[in-house]
Amino acid sequence: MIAQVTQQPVAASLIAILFAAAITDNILLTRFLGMCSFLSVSRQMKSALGLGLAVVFVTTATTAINSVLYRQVLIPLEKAYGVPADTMILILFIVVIAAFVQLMEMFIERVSLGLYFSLGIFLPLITVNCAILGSSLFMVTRQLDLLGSLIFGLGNGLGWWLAIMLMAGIRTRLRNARIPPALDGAGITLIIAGIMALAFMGYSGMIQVQ
Amino acid sequence: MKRDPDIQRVEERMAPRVLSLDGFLGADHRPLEEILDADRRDVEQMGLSNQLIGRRLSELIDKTVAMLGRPLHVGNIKATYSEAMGRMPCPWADGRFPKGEIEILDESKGLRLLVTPSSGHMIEHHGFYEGRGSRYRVDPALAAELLGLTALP
Amino acid sequence: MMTILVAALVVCVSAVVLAILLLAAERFLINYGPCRIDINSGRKSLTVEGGQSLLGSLKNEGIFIPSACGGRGTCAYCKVKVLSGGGPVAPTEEPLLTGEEIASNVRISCQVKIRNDIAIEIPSDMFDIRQYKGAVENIRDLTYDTKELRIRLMSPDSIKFEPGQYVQLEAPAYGRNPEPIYRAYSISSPPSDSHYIEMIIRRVPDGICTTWVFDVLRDGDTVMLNGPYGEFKMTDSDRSMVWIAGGSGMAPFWSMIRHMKETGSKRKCTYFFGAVARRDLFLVDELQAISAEMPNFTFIPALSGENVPDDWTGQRGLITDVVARSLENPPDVEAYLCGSAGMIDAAVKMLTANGVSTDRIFYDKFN
Repeated sequence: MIAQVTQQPVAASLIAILFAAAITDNILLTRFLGMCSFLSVSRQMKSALGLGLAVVFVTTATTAINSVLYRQVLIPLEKAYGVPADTMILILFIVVIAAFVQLMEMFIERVSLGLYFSLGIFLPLITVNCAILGSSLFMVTRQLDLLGSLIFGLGNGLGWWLAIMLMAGIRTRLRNARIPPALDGAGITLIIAGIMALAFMGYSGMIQVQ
Repeated sequence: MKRDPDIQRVEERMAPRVLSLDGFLGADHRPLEEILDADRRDVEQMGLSNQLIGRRLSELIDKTVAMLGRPLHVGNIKATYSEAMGRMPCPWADGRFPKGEIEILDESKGLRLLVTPSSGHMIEHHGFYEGRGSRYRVDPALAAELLGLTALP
Repeated sequence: MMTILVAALVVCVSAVVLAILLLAAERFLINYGPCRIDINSGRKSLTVEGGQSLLGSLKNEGIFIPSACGGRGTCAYCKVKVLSGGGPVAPTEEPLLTGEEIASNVRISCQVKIRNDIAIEIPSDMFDIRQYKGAVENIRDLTYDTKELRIRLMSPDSIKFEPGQYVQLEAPAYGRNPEPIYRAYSISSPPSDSHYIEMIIRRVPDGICTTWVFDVLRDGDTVMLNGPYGEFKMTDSDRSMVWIAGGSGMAPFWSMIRHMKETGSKRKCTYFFGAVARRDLFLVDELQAISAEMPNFTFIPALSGENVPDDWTGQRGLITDVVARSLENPPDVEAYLCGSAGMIDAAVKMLTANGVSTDRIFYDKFN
């Protein structure tokens, strides 16, 4: 797995993780996670930007927090009491993400109203975004350390942001295109997402991702 | 389905008893995005655009409102404004329009359309023709026929 | 067994820790504590619990800012000048404010959340606005689609206002929208009739409040209203006045003329009342009787419809054209307008084109 990569010099391996997560292994276009908000909030560039940035931020932070939770709490528990860490992660990660998003919403409202008005309104939307949970779960399967998790989360978030921005851009253009009625709306969006995924697969030779 | 919060806010304002008694959506239970998409599709299939229909409807509406209740005759069309006091905000909150309603009749073709002073604005700027079953639903095909609009070259 | 217990314990402990964190955050992050609202540089100072909207907090303290939509950020009536402590303009306010208003710190008070001490400026007569509870004394038909609503005030039991001002009637919540809404109606009774309030209400198609008044409200029902609002009052000058009204725009003038008669005013006044057909006219006999008693007051009803009967002896044509025909010495008149938004727009255009200066044209903001 990525274990080979992490044995390389630290900086190089982190860049590899970031690049792999954002581009070659894009969580949205290769794993198809976070599709729901991807489809419904990609009508306008402005909303897509706000939501995308909120996802970048929350994915980075929660992947790191969950990494600490996994390594410092769940693994020791597994060793001491035999509680299988892998079955616990699902329920705990999602609770952590939900609580974190709530906390952040309050925090941002208190600290910066400008930021709250541009990003904060999207936070409730991503409490249950599966890309964010997916990022935490993949972090576990890849056995990343804290720094690696942080970069991995950032990469996933950036990848998701990139994908929704691209989609919003395409859909803005699409407004003037003639689309067969049966495919308009979600249909054409899914087809575009598929073509985008194919395009992103073109990057897959650049980094060894198993 | 997760929704864009901006669209959701607009849709909430369209509910009955928020801005008007029966609201803007009538018996239409589709999400606002779908209503907008479906009408845009129909309009494009006729070879027209929301901007064109909206602008032409606005012109007619503005002239009719200026008649203060006296019927306006343009060709075969007779348009009458039933006045009301006060102004009604657009659900997108980007303009306020006189209250009241306008009946547009073309007796030679047997066509009738009921609109409000904000209908033209909502079509031109937001592609919104109101929901199915709404009192002021503007059927794009009917509007195009009444306004004498034919496909763009 | 042990494993399951530990697993359950871990989940519970995590949930409790997170819940405590969230509660703490709620306690410290979004608890704004008591905040001070300073109004008109020390004229009044209120201490309210932070976190609510400015409009709501002021209302709870008995200060009423006009608002029609019940705080949903659509009507844009509740504009207030926020001198400090308002924070950045919210995206929900932006479409409702002009660049000029944003530059001079005007805000939509229902969208401003009180997060800290705040200083605002409001017109001083807003301190006199009260909430009134009343009972419907009588509802009578003036035309087929216009009613006169007479309300007996209960608490407080009398109101002080100037003719031309308006009150906001509360249409109580029912159906799917849980918020009451408010609609502005000019007071049509004279100030001397201080224990009662009369309004002239014309049915608005698809209207929330008028439908309630027409279909639900009955004699004896309790109603809530607040007021008086508005700058639409007669000036103190003795310039001759031109009143232009259409439909239920009759209301403020019906108050003004009765007040002028009671106070023995000698001011010259011509009242143009426009309608489409004869069935839209009302109070004509009463007004003609007053004009017979008051030599300086002339009442001119006009019909604009296509099928005006031959026996109609009054003016014909659009009310704006009728006024334009008989306007005397325009630079020296004051014009008072009340009617539909379309009529106001058309009348302002006609008056300015005829040389009436804009600062002598008065009409209500809610139009």
